[in-house]
Amino acid sequence: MKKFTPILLLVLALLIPVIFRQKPSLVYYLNLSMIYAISAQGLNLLMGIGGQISLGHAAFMAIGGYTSAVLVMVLHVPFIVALIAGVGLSCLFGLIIGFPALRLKGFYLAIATLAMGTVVTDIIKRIAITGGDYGLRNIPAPRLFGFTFGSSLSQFYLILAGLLLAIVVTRNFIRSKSGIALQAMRDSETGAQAVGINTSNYKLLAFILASAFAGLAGVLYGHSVSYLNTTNFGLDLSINLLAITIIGGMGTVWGVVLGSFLWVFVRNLMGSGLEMLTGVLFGVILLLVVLFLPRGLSEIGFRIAGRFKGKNESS
Amino acid sequence: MWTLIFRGLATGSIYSLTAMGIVLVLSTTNVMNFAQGDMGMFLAFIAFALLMRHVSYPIAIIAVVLIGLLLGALLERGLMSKVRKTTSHLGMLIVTLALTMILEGLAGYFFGTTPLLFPPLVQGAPLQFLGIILDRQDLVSLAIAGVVVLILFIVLYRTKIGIASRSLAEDEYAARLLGIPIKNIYIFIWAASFGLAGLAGIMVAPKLSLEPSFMIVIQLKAFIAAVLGGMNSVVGAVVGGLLLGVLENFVAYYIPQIKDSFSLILVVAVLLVLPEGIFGKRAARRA
Amino acid sequence: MLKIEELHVSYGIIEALHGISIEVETSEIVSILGSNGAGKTTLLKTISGILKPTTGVITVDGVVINSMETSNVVKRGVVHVPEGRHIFPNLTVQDNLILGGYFGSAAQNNENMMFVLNTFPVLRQRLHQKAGMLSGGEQQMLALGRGLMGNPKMLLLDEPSLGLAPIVTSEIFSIVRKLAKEHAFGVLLVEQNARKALEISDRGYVLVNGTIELSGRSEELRENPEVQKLYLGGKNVDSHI
Ligand SMILES: Nc1ncnc2c1ncn2[C@@H]1O[C@H](COP(=O)(O)OP(=O)(O)O)[C@@H](O)[C@H]1O
Ligand SMILES: [Mg+2]
Repeated sequence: MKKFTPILLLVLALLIPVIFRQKPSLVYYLNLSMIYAISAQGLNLLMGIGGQISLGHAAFMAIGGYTSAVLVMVLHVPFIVALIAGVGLSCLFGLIIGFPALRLKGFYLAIATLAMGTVVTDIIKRIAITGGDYGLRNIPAPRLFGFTFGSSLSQFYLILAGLLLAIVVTRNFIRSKSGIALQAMRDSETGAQAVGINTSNYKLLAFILASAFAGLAGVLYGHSVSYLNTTNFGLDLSINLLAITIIGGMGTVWGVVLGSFLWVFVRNLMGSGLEMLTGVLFGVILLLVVLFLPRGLSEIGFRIAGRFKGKNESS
Repeated sequence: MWTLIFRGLATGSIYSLTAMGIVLVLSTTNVMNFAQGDMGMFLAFIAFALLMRHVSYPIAIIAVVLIGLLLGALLERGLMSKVRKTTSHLGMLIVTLALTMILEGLAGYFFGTTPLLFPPLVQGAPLQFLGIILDRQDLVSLAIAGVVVLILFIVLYRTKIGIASRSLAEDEYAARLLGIPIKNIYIFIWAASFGLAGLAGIMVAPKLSLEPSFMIVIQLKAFIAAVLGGMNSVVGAVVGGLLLGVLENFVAYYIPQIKDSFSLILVVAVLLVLPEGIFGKRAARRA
Repeated sequence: MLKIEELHVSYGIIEALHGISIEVETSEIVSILGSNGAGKTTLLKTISGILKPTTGVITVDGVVINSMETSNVVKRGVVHVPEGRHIFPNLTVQDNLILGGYFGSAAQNNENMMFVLNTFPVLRQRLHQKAGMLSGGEQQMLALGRGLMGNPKMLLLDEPSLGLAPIVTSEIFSIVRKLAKEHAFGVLLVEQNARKALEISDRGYVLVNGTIELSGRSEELRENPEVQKLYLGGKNVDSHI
């Protein structure tokens, strides 16, 4: 049974947009959710596994998004090349920033990543080619192997592929030597060092992977929303990504997916005039999670699943 | 030249007020408070509402500071004291992030996100003095900041509760052994820091425009000031804030291209090169 | 006046004290001897309310204190001067002392301050210096003085000789003895330096792995062959310095 759950979920996921064909806005929100889930998966690696905090995660989305959009719009390179370049540049920045930043601890890392994130978006805004304060409009839809992902429906599958990739990579990372070492370090840094694990390389690896995920999410965001503005990638989004990760449940691959869906849907389906209250609602949920559910909302899911399993076995 | 320094000090004094609140809380309770700026924002909105109802300016200031004190005390009693038992330092940091989401959301819901004009404390043309141009608002806010800093220092260095607060920052175990009522000190600290937040909010609002995110940039600058000052000394926070304000003004004047990024690059450089800050003796050990 | 009965204390699932009974009378100096890890600090921390016992009773003048917060224990006159001194290095000597009298009235604190500065004249010269600038011996005096600011009926001293030169230790110990006799308070003195501790104390207990192995008058303990072998034996005596 357990083996088939992912396949079942996948089939379900593949069918969702078909079922909701009549409601493209719903599919659009699904796409957004998945994009944030990809990005948050990176934070999940960094925080949930690596025990490091970042308040500049959204900036890496901006790097990926702008790189790819500019390459496609100005240099007319194929989407696939732009995608790789966007993710690559994001990784590179992850390396450049992560290398010095990871020497800092806790609070100081939070401030440093916050500052670096702000510098990055500032710089992007200053480069003329990015449209400055007006942002980049009319970014073309993704085009792969001659097929244009023009509709929300077609983009759904592309983004889903991205999300699956992120999940698989995260899952493998958690189980890899570096992942295990990082978790040991997260629980006790001195402990890990005592058994001779050099954790700084693993931390850096986690940081770079996190940047890659954010970059990928940024690329997908730019080409599916078709509009980029640096104000959308500021501290606000970084904090929200953090909230998504923690609310969903750090250290689990499905928690962040849950968190992202919750965030996007609550935010967009709240009646008009009440959008501002999503922040309040999410803030309160975040508080409650920190207080009572250290493993996030996914823990409730696990408990329910556990109960079902118990029932199945007993019956 | 002197005009630049004066303007820098005026801006810097606001950074100092916010940084003091942050450092006060961090050094004693070990919480990195990301909500200091947003608490100022929220209180500035309350001040705005009062002013719109024709409450006089001085009374609005006093009311807002008192509300700040009260909210700080309530936060410690109702939330922080509970969270402290169950979560790590990073968990506490996240609690303050949740607080920013809540405060910004509430402000946006009740007052909207369209920027509002906050009336200045004083009006009138800038004064000229020995060729220095002194903006009235700057002058008043510098004076208020000066008085507040003075009061805070007297409290911290001359009263039992103030000395006890500083002792807590040094050695909590020893403070406990002396029977110092730590819970009350925590309440005092949070109250004081949110009182400072209210003042900072009122002083910044007329310079920028009033909207739910207007204090974010001040919060960031205050962090930078605190880092410059070594993160664990209130004196350092004051000096760091003033220094940052002056430096920024010079940079904006002579190299305007980098004025936005300057302080950010500065903080990253300081964090990496001098993790104890310029004046600090032994920071960075926390975390 | 301090009475401890059948005290059990655990760190998580590991028990550190296995049923300890101790008494200290007014004006009496009682030493607790034991090697590193015996549970001496654990005992003092439990008396001052930092740790809660699993079972057992601690009373001061008949009042049960083992469920009290530290601040209430201090108000009852039990003051714990910790191992390693724990003075506040960036506060002035004066501020350190002021904090010792956190609960006292201004008049009372002034009086106590005079008393402390007369007892330890070096502190008077350094009143406005940062406490971190003091030498080890002076810091120990400050820690003691800070404790005295709380008007103790019972002083708990955790390894006051740690890291001090023998002459300084002797000086501090003789002051402690004089104070206890003249001002009628009890002292519970925890020491690894058994020889010095037995010189000034009236009685002593030997703590081994969380249980009291021996107790008696200090002279008797000094003569006890087992104590001599384990705690007074030749070079071992001051080896922790
Ligand atoms: N915080 C703690 N957590 C767990 N065990 C502890 C802790 N403190 C002390 N212990 C253990 O309790 C025992 C007694 O320690 P302690 O009271 O410090 O001894 P002493 O002061 O006599 O050297 C030791 O075995 C020590 O390892
Ligand atoms: Mg000990």
